[in-house]
Amino acid sequence: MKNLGTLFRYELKKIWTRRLTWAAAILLVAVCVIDASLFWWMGRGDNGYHFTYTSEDGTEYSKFLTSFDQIKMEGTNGSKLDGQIWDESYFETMRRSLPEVGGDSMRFTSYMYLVDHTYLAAAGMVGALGLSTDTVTAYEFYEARRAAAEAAWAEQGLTPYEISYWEREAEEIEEPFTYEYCKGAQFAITRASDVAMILPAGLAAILCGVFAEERRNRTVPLIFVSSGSRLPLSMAKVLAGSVTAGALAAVMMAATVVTELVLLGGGLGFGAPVQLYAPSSGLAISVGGALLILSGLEILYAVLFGGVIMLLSVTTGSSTAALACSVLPSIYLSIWVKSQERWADWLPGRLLSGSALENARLLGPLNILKSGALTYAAIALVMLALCALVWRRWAVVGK
Amino acid sequence: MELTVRELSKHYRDKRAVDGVSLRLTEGINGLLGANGAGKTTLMRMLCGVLRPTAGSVSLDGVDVSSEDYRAVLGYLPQDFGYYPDFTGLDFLLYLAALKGMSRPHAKRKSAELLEMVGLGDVGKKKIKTYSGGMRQRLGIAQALLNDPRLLIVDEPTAGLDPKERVRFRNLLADLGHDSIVLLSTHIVSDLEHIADHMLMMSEGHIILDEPWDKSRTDLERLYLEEFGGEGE
Repeated sequence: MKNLGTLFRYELKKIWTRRLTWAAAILLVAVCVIDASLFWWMGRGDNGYHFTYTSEDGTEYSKFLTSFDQIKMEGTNGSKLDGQIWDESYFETMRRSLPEVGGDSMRFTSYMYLVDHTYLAAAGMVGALGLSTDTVTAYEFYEARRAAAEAAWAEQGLTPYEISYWEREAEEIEEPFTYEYCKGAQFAITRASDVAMILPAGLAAILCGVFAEERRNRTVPLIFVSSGSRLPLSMAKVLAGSVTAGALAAVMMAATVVTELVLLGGGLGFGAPVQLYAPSSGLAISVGGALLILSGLEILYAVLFGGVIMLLSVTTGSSTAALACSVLPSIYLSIWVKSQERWADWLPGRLLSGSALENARLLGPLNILKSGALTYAAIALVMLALCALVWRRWAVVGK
Repeated sequence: MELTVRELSKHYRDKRAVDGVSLRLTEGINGLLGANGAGKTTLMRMLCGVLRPTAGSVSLDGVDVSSEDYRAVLGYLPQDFGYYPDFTGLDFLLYLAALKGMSRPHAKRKSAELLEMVGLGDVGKKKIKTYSGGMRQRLGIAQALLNDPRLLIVDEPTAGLDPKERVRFRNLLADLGHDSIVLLSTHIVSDLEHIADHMLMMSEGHIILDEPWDKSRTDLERLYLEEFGGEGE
C-alpha cells in the first residue's frame, strides 16, 4: 500500500478545494447553530407568560417572563445545586423549602418562578414522574423511576429475556443520584435527530464527486496507467470520504453542543446520570456519556451514508445521479418512517435521537445503542469495501 | 527494446475501430498519422491498457500490457488530457508520482526537474486552471515522463496549440526519442515530418503505411494527401 498517506492527503485536498464542499459544510453548521438556538429565538418577545403569586402573608408577586427567561432562570439556579446527593435528606429539605399548594400546579409554578427558584429543575423532574413535591420522598422517587422504566418495557413489548437483561443493567445504575444541572447537554441530545436529518443532503453534495470526479475531469486514463495505483488510490478515496463525513458529523454535533451551552449557561452537566434526562432509561451512563454515544453514532451514520453516496458515485460515474439517488431515500428514512416495528428502531430518525436512550428493545445480548453502532459500522464497512472494488473495475473499460 | 502488437482489434457493435493491427516498434520517434476517426486514439488506448481489445495482444519485450511491469515503464499523454483544476502544477505531478509509487523525495526532485524542462518552473505553484492550453499540454508531457518511461505514448499532443507552442512541443518530444520508444499520434503532418524515425499511417482501423522515415524527406504531406485526400493540415 505504497504512498497511501500521500494519496489520502491529496484526496482530502480534492474534496476540500471544491467551493461546494465549503458551502455545504458552512451551511450545515449554520443550520445546526440555528436549530440549537431556535428556543432562544422563539422564546423572546411576546412568547411567555405573566405569572402572579400571592404568598400566605399577602405579598403579591407579578412578572411577565418570556419562555427563554424561564429556561435561563432554571439554568442559573439549577447549577447551584450541582453535586448534591438526591437522598432522603435532600428530598426532606426540598419539601420544607416549598410551599404546600394542594395540587394547584399553576400556583406552584408561579411560586417557583417568582419567589424561590432553587428547586425549579428538581421539582420539574418530580412532577414528570407523577409525584407531588408536598410529599415526595427519595424512596418514592426512585420507585417511581423504576416503575416508569418497567412501563416503558411493557409498552415496547420486551420479552422476558430482554426484561431480565435490563433488570441486571438497572443494578449498575448508581443510586442515589448525584445531581448536576444538564439542560445544555439535554438540549443537544434532543437535537441529535435534527443533525441526522440534515446531514444527508450536505454530505451528498460533498461526497458525490469523490469517485465521479475522475470521469468529470477525464483523469481516469492517467490514473490507471500508473503502476500499483489501483488499490492504494481506492483506499485513499474511501478513507478521505469517510474522514470528511465523520469530521463533518462531529463538527455539527459540536456546533450544536456549544450553541446550547452558550445560550443556556450554567454547568455542563455531563456527569449527571442519564436518568435525570430520561427517567425510564435503563442505561447506566451519564448524560455526557449519552451525548458521546449519540455523537459516535452520528459519526458512524455519516460514514455509512458517505459509503452509500460514494458507492452510487462510483457505480454511476455521475455526481448528479449519486446526489439524486441518495438524498431523498435518506431523508425519507430519517423523517417519515413512523413504523413501530422493531426494524424501524435501526433507522437514523429513531436511533439517533434522545428517545433512543429510553428504547430498551434488544438485538441479541446488546442494547439498542450498542447494536445500532455495530450494525451501522458493519454496513459502512461493506459500502466502503464495495466502493474500492467497483472503482478498480474502472481500470480497463471495454468500450 | 521492442513493442509488439499482434492482430489487435477493437470492434464495436456497428464499427471496426481497429482491425487486425500488427506492429513492431523500437526506440525512436514513431509517428502515427491518420485522419480524424481513423482509429488512432482507440489503438493508443489499447496500447496503454486502458481499453480492452476485442482480439489480439500487446507486449513490451514480452511483458503483457495488462501487467504492472508494463505500466511501470509506460508514460501516456491522452488526447483529451484531464487534470484537477484546483491543483497546482507541482501538486499535480506529485500526486501522479505518488500514484506511480515514487517516494516523496524522489517525486519532489523529479517534478521540479520536469517542470523546468517543460518551461513551467516559474508557474509550478500556480493552479492549473490559470494555465493556457499550451501550458497544460506541457504539464501533460511532464506527467508522462515522471517515471522515466521506456515507452511513451502521446496522442494528438499539439491539438489546440498555437504555432509557437506546437514547435516548442515538437522539439521537446524529439529529445525524448533517443532512449525510449515514443509513439506520437497526430493528424498534423508538420508535427512529424522532421522528427519521426519511423512512420505509420492509419485509415479506417488499418495500418496502411509502416516504414522507417528519413527526416530529410519532404514528401510526407504529398503521401498523406494521396492517402487521405486533404483531410490533414
